[in-house]
Amino acid sequence: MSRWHSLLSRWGQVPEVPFFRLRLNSLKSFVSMVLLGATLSLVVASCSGSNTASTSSTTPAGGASPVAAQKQDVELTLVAYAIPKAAHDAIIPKFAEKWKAEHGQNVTFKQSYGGSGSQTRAIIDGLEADVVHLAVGADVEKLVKAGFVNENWQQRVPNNGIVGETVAAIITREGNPKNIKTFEDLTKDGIKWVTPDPKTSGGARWNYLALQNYAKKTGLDDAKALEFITKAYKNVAVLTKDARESTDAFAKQGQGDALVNYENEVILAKQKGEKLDYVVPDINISIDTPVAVVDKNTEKHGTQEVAKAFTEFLFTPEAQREFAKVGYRPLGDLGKEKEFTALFPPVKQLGKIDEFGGWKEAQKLFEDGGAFDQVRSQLGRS
Amino acid sequence: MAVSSPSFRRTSSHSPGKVLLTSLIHMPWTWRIMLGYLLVMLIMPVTAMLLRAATVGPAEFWRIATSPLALSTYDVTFTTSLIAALIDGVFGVLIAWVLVRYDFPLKRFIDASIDLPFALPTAVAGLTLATVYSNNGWIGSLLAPLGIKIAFTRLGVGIAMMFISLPFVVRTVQPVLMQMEREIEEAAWSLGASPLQTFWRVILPPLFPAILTGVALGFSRAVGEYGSTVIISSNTPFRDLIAPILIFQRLEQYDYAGATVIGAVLLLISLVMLLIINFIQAWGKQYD
Repeated sequence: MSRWHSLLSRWGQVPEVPFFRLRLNSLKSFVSMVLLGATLSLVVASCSGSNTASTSSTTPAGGASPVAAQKQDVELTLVAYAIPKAAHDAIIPKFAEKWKAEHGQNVTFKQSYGGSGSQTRAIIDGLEADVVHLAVGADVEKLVKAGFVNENWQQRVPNNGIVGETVAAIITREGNPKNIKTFEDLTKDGIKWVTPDPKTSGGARWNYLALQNYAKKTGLDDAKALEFITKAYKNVAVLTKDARESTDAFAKQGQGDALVNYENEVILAKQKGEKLDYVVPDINISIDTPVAVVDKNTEKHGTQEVAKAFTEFLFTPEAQREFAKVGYRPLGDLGKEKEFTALFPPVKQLGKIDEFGGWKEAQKLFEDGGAFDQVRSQLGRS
Repeated sequence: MAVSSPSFRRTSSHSPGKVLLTSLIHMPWTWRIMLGYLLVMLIMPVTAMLLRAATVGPAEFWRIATSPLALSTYDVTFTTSLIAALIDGVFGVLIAWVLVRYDFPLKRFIDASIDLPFALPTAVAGLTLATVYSNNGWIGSLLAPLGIKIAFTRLGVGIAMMFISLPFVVRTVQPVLMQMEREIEEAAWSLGASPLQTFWRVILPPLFPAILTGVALGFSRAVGEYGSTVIISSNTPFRDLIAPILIFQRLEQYDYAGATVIGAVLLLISLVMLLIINFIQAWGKQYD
């Protein structure tokens, strides 16, 4: 038989190689092998033990007193979820200019954008962020729990740390042929809709809360609310991994009659020339995206002051205007300007995350054995 | 496993521990390097995973591993992978046969393109397949009037698995076919065997181990596949949610231990199935 064949047919079998061959120095080399192995495993163990002590250590020596080291350049690392990139790109030069004028110091930014959950995990695993802007408060709570952000993060900036506000929007097929206007319409027979999976996507958790909020505002009790949500999720055509995939499944692969997404994403897509029909339901949830200073890293880098100034700057009308331009609902009086009243139709009944006990409580809906697990156990069964 | 077993057989009079030690000491260099490499590349990572999974305790391990959702994902993953690998087994042999026995224009090009599923990032593969097989895609739109839905169903998951594991069968069968002499077939014909008999009695037996290997490799690849299946699946629990996605969901919730529990179960089931295939192969060799 061929060489290949004999090789293949021997797959997983014991080769007939002489196994025992006495050698004088073999004990010595065996010992050295063991030592090498032990060293290797020690290295591996120490690497996994101190995963936060990695990456750049370019902090200037005078880092402990940044005020004294005014002339030295300072670098801030901003880690954010994917959507607000356009806004931050516009805001950062403005802040750098202002900081330079007030403190005579150059500030440069390192930026990282990605899924909120993976960004959070990256920070816990050693990405040295000074400032974070995440999609859900629950992710900041995770950083609090891991000891990166101080408990009082919400008190140190305006508006409880919520820097970007938007609502849920229902995107429909052209001309809205199935006349979908509210979240209740998603529970009707014959309607199919697309959402990411709350287990993997932050945005999907807001979608779930939007349904829960609708049930609450229309006076359903807890059991009825769960039934309502289950019915809606039974109509889901595709439960994608993240928001981007759900947009693909709806727009490119023609799945479902409706897609639930952030209003700001829809506005941004429209600005980029995509044709979209969408409704902003009257009973809706306020989707709040928080910003926070990562205390553990700013202390290490000596960037507390500039990080604090940057987060505060994000709440100024100047910065909020940039957020509004890319689709976020502006905070404060800015929303009353004519340019924005047309873009952002008022929502009649806006639910807040606090009504669900804040993210600390709301997160439990999605954990093992939580309400969503109950909903999920009913899916795929008619 | 395979390393220590020969020593058991040869010196059955000694205690196993002592035999293991002496065999370790007296190993030739090739064995030492192989063991060292396997240790770093395979044994240590797997051990680390199993240790992590063990941190949850037996009761919790059992609860996570046998939750109704987890059980349904094993079913979806393993049954679909097995069917996909078997279908690939049939068509892979056919493709290898055509590539070896016939000459035609663009043969080299087609031969090279068989490896595309290896090279293509799986997310790209998934996106492409989802688009082509969706209701308004090229193939999906042909089947939609018949009421057959492929993308975003379990069927789609199977298609993705078939796509990524096809090269394994072709590439394991091809060299064996190339070595097989045509004269054997001609001898069979001249002795009065029908084409079917020639195939069953003369061609298939020597190919069988290679086909099994290819199917086994394709199967293991399909079980572990994530990138393409997550996109083409609708991820509906109890319908087409596959186990690797369940692992990812647990990771997203920072439940590393829970994720490794599912991973350990997948590993064990795969190992058992590969062993079974190995036994079939050994059994088939009796008739060589």
